[in-house]
This record gives sequence, structure tokens and C-alpha cells, in this order.
Amino acid sequence: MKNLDIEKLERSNVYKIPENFFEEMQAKVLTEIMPVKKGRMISMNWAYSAAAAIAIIFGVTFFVNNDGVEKNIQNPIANVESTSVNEIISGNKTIIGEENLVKQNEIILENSKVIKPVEGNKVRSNPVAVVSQVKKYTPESSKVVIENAEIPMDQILSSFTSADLADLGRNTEQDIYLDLYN
Amino acid sequence: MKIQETEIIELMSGEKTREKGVRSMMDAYQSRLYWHIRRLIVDHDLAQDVLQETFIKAYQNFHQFKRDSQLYTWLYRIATNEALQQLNKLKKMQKSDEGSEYHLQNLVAENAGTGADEIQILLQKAIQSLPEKQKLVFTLRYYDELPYEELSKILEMSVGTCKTNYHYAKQKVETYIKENYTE
Repeated sequence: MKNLDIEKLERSNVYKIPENFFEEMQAKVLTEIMPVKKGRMISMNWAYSAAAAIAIIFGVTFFVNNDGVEKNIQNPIANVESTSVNEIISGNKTIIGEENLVKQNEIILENSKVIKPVEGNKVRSNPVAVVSQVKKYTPESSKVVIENAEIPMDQILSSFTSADLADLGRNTEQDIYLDLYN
Repeated sequence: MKIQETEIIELMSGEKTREKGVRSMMDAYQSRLYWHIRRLIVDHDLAQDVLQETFIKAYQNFHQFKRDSQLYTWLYRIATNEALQQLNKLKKMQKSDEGSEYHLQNLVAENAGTGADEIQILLQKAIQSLPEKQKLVFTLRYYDELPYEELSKILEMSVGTCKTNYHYAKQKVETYIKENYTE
């Protein structure tokens, strides 16, 4: 081993490689670099594109507007709901249509019935019934109505005679949970 | 070889023929590049990753290839840089040059085929004991038999530096084998 000259050694590889290594490596490289083939692109005249775009815009606009009108006609109460109950009570009317206006007037009238007994202690209409009528429209509006109704509640209660209260007591259902503690 | 290279470059330059060009490039250089990388980093899986990355980078950066140099020189440069990056990662993992050198020498023993000659195994271990530049110059000159002019282009060092590095590397390798060979 004293006269070793590596230039005279055979250039051999001591390592082994798996079979089909280069084929698999090529496949991996190709999948990595080759973009996914896209579908055929159809070229289109710009005038046709513009016409199509305008048609879509008009179509969508017409559809949206038409849909809004239909909603107004089908559900007039919704318009009443959209205006705040405070506004209605205070008498600020939003003119939407004859039918809606009538509804608004009704509510105003009903609310005025609630308030009237405070002023005169004369009206015998049932204020609870009025509140429940207003409740029917939507839960959202009813919340507001109830909140507003809470303010004159003492006044409303004071307007009842003992006969009225007895009558109301007879008509109401018993609360079973409250009954547990009786 | 030169004619084949020109064909590959032409194929790689055309948009419709690029895929064919990549295939031709891999067919022509995959074996030489693989063994160059494998001798540097020993582990097959890592060598495979580096080889794949070399071809992917060659494809992606083909527009940067200057036609005045040879394609294989350019590919060797990419492969060498990628392999050195892997070796640097290994050094960071081993936390020292000595640690990575020891690790690579152990890998040589693990990866060597059962019928491999002892001198050949010692030669590979000796290569792993060399400093980085000497290792690169030695493997490219000894195994790939590249001229010093090409070596200087691939490794971006002068021809004189390449010759000096090869001379010292050869001496170190021979000394290592003499010291470790058991008759």
C-alpha cells in the first residue's frame, strides 16, 4: 500500500440505486413543472361581449326592482314594520300606499286608545288586547311596542276597575310554574 | 455531445417543444448529475431530492441560461449549489464540521453495497474528510473527468486554484487510504 496511486484505480461506484429510479424521478419532475392543461379558449368579438354584459346588467336590475315591488304589494305590513313603531306612535306617517296607510292609521288609533285612558280615565277598551294585536305583526315590532307600553303601565292598571281585573283574572290561564310554590 | 446539447437548447427554447426538451435534458444528464450529487451527500433520498430540484430549477430559470457557456456546465453548477445547500443543512443539524464529516463517513459505510471493494469504500470516506472546495474539485475532476477550464466555470474559481485544490485533495485521499487500509 506504500506505492498507492489513486489515478490508477478503477472509477467505480460503491453505492446502489433502486430500479427504475430515473424513470420515476423524470415523472416527478414532469408533474412538478408541467402546468395543468386548460380547456380550449374561445375568442369572442368585443361587441358581443359588451352586448352580453349590458343585457346581464339590465336583466339583473329589472329582476331586482321587480322583486322589490312584488314584495311591497304582497306584504304591506312589512313596510309598516320597517318604519319604527315610535314614529307610528308619534304620528309620523310614511306614505307607502293606501292599504299601508290604513294599517298605520289603525296602529296609531290603537295606541291612542291605550294612551287615552290616562288622559280621561273614560275609555273602557281592553289595552292588553290592543298590545296583543300589535304583537301579531312581528316579534321585532312587538318588542318595541311592549317597551313603549311599559311606560304607562301603572297608568293603565290604575284605569282598571276591580270588576275589570276580576274579569281578566278569570280569562287568564294559570301559570303552572308559579303554581308550584302556592 | 455538442450537437445533442444544441438540440436540447432549441427544444427547451420553443414553447411547444419545451416538454420534449426537458425529457431530452434529463435523459442526457440525469446519470452524471445524480452520481455527482450522490458522491457529495451520500444519502440516496437526499440525492434524489437534489437531482429533482436541479431539473426543476433548470426548467424554471432556463431564460437565464447564457448560450455562450455549455448546458452541462450550467446544470452542474445548479446541482452543486443545491447539494451544498443540503450539506449546510446537515452541518447545522450536526452543529459542527467534524460532526457532519463523521456522519457522512458513517453514511458511506451504510450505503456501500455488500460486494464493494475496501479501497473504494475508503476512497469515498476519504472524500468526505476533505474540505468543501477540495471535495468539489476532486469529485468533478477524478470521476467526471472535467477539464480544469470547465471546473473553474462551474465552481467560479480560477484554473490555478482548481489545480492546487485537486493536488492537495489527491494527497489527502491517498494518505487517508494508506492509514486506514487493512491488508
